Amino acid sequence: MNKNNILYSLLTLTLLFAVIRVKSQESNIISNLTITPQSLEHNPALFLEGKAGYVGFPLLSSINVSASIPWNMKQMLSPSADGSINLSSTNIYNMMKENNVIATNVNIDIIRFGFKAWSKGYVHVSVSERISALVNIKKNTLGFFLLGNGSDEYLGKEVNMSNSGISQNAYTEIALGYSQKIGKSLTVGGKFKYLIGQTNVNTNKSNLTFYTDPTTYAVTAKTDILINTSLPFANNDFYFSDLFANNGIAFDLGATYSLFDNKLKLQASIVDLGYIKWKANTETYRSIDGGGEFVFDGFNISVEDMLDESGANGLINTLLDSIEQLGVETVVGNKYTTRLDTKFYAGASYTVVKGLDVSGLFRMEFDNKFNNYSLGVALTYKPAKWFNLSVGNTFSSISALGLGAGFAINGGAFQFYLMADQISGFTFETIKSANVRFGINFVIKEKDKIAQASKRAKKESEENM
Amino acid sequence: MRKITLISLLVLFTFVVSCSKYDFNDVNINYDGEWAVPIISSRLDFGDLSNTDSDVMHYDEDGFIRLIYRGNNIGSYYLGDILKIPPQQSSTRLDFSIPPIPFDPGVDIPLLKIPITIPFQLDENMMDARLDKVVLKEGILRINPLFAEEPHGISVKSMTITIDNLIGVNGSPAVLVVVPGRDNYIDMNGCTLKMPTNELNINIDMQLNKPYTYPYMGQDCSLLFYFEMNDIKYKEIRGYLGNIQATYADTIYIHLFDKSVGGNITIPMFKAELNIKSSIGASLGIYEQCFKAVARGNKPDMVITGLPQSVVIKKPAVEHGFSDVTVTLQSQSLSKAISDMYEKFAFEYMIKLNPEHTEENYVFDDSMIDMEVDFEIPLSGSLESVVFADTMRLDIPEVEMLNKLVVNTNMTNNFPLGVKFQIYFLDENHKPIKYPNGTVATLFPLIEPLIVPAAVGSDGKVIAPSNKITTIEISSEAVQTLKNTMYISLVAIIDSEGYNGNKQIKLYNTGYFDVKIGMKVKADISVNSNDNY
Repeated sequence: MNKNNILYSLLTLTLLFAVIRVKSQESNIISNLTITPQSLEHNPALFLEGKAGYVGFPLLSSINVSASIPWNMKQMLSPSADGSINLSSTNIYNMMKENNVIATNVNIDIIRFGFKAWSKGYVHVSVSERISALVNIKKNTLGFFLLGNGSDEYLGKEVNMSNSGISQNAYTEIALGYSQKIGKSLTVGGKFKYLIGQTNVNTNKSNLTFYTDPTTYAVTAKTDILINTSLPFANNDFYFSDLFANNGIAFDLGATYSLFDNKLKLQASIVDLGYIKWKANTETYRSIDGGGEFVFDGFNISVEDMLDESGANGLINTLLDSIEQLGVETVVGNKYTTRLDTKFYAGASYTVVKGLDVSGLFRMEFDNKFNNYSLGVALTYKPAKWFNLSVGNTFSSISALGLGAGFAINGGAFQFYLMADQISGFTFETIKSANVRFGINFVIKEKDKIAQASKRAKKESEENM
Repeated sequence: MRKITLISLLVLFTFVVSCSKYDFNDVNINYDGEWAVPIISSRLDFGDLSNTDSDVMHYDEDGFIRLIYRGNNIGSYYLGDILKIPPQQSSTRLDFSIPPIPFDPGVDIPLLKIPITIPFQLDENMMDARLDKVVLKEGILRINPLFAEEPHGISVKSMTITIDNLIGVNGSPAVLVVVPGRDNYIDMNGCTLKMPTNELNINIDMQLNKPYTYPYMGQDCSLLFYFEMNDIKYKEIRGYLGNIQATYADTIYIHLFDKSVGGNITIPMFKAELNIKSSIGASLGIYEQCFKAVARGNKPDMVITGLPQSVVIKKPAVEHGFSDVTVTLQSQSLSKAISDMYEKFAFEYMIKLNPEHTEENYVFDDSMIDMEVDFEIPLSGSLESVVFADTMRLDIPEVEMLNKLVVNTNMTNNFPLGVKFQIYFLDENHKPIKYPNGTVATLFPLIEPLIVPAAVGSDGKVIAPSNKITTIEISSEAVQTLKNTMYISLVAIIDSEGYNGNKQIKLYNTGYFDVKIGMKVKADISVNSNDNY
């Protein structure tokens, strides 16, 4: 069996494997499309091999949209024999996990360019807009409203609804990076990022417990919340300068090491080690004195009131006044700092045969509330310097299986790439997440000095002849 | 190899692109959450339960409760309301002669002096009264004369009327100078009437003008006097007032029994007293005309017997002072009326002055008679199947989305009383609502002992509260049946339980009910996208 057959077999198996309904959370495919400048993002030490430089098409060099929900339609809906759909509160509760995350991200490169410098170095410059939003719904938070506090699940038990929350971030990242070859095998690199925050919602603390007495149904709720926001359009006093008032910095650091005549490449990096200070249009919602407690065991009314329905008037106001005991205050102008979601990468790739790489990339993301990790494995076909095709699977803490695929193709200086999660099983009923990225770059090919010298020598030889 | 690839691709396309098999035009959304809310958490003491004012409840040193209805005023009258001097109105014709006058312009017509007597009309029951002295604070005396026949050629020059027994503020008889054509009156404020014979004695001095022609041959004349005395209010009366009588009626309510409709309560130490005070300068007789216990509904009224039929109170020893008398009201029928929990007692009585003999009387404008009944109900006794009932309006909203309704009651009781409870659901015509199977709709299947008596020690005091949790489940079918409810009828049956199961108990101020009521509902909401709203 020749190598072409092997390739075709692998491709076929991969595609066949793709018919399985899959869930993919975080895509590592872009890091395997090594002819694209975007593949360098996860490690500032990486070079764009064979290219003297690159320029991203303004606003179109990288458009990345991703979204994920914790359940798919098939899990939520129960089709009947007659084709109608049943959506029931009990079904929704049963399908929920402990943490149910709804997330969306949009990343757009406004400007991106880079160039080779000082023979062994590479300079990278980029301006990008990064927008993310995440809602985490603890099972008990939504379950409480689906099943009710009088259900067997919650009656007489302390229900912990803590750590549900909303997180939203929008900022502009202006980055300047440099990578340097050291010797034959080692490269190191770093990137400095200046960050300009536009909007932020940060649920720093959201502790909520609820208890319903099984006999009297008296309810006790305890809260301790701290939510910071910076939303320039939330109030009527908006100034354009507010969009530039929230600033921060971040760093990326990385290194790569080649072995076995560059067949084996090891890499490690830390990305987005930084913070943003929020100063403009801030509002903080926080519990007073470390949290409040609301207890309601019924209306305290006289016998006469019990027998007089109009006695209920005004009692509702008494209840609402009691709810104020939860004690949440709003503070305007409070400054706060948020940390970026720092990522740690460690990976390796091995050239099995020329034009075929096997790679693995481990990623650990340090979120404010969660630590997510994933391991991506991929098979990348590089038959020529102008074409990459990569297919792979990502194993993550959220989902065991996540197939993806992508390609990049150069036509002279023009480059187009496209990658996506969930290539197969992309149906409305089964989809839970999608991550699509595409873009256009212009790449400047590095002059092949050996080929040039050989050509020169051949010409001289011909001339001499 | 390429063929395998092509086949794989075909298989892939077969599986990859699958159209949604869901019809999103036909979506059923179901919600069946179950919600529990506390409704009531109240501590009720005896005052809350019995709707008794705090000034009625009195506590002994050990906290034992007595209900003392003190100063329950059944009648308070100023004598001015009983003894009134009626307005007077009469006319008197006076005939007199003018003698012949010879031709002598220098001779005046002599002054005519004419006395008249006008009877003073009093009320029937004062026919033998004697008004020795009546000091007036208000009143108008109007006297207007009119010649019945105009004497020929004669006219009145002046007329002065003196009322001999109406003494003015200057101490002299009141004088009225009559001006023809005007409203002639005397303001009697501050004047004193002295009418031991119930007559007004009036003297008229009349000076006529000289005749137009001489000689004047003389004439018989008549003079009409219109006499009015109105708005007579007195400050003081002395004399003898006769046997003035007045009849009055009043009612006493015992709110403790407001809602009772049956059963038996025994309060052996019940006491009642009638207190009468009078500052009227005359002896008074109070005569019971009627005393009965009045009940609501079909319960018959009960005539209270065995009480004193009359009471005489003497004249006060000093003027502006009071005399008083207290009568103990104790009779078997009164005790039975309390025991049967009549909540209303109606009185009718007659007051009569000078019931026994004639004596000198005096009254002032602030003289009064005041009658009060004091009830003392020590809360010691027994209750046997005492039924309290009430009906109230209650609109149960039409809820089609309830699967089940559960009501939980948690009753902690620190009274030695047990309460059975039931609620009936009534429609707009106050008729009981029935379930489809014909049974009357009630909150409990059987009347429920919702509250259990607290444990009582040998000294009759509660030693430990009781606690009872009751769960009432109402199915969705029952909820649908009850949606026509407009009223509910609450019935509570109370029994006392003392030491060793004895019915005799005492109530102390440490008693209370802790009432906690919660409700749990299970929703059953189904919405279809094709439903019209």
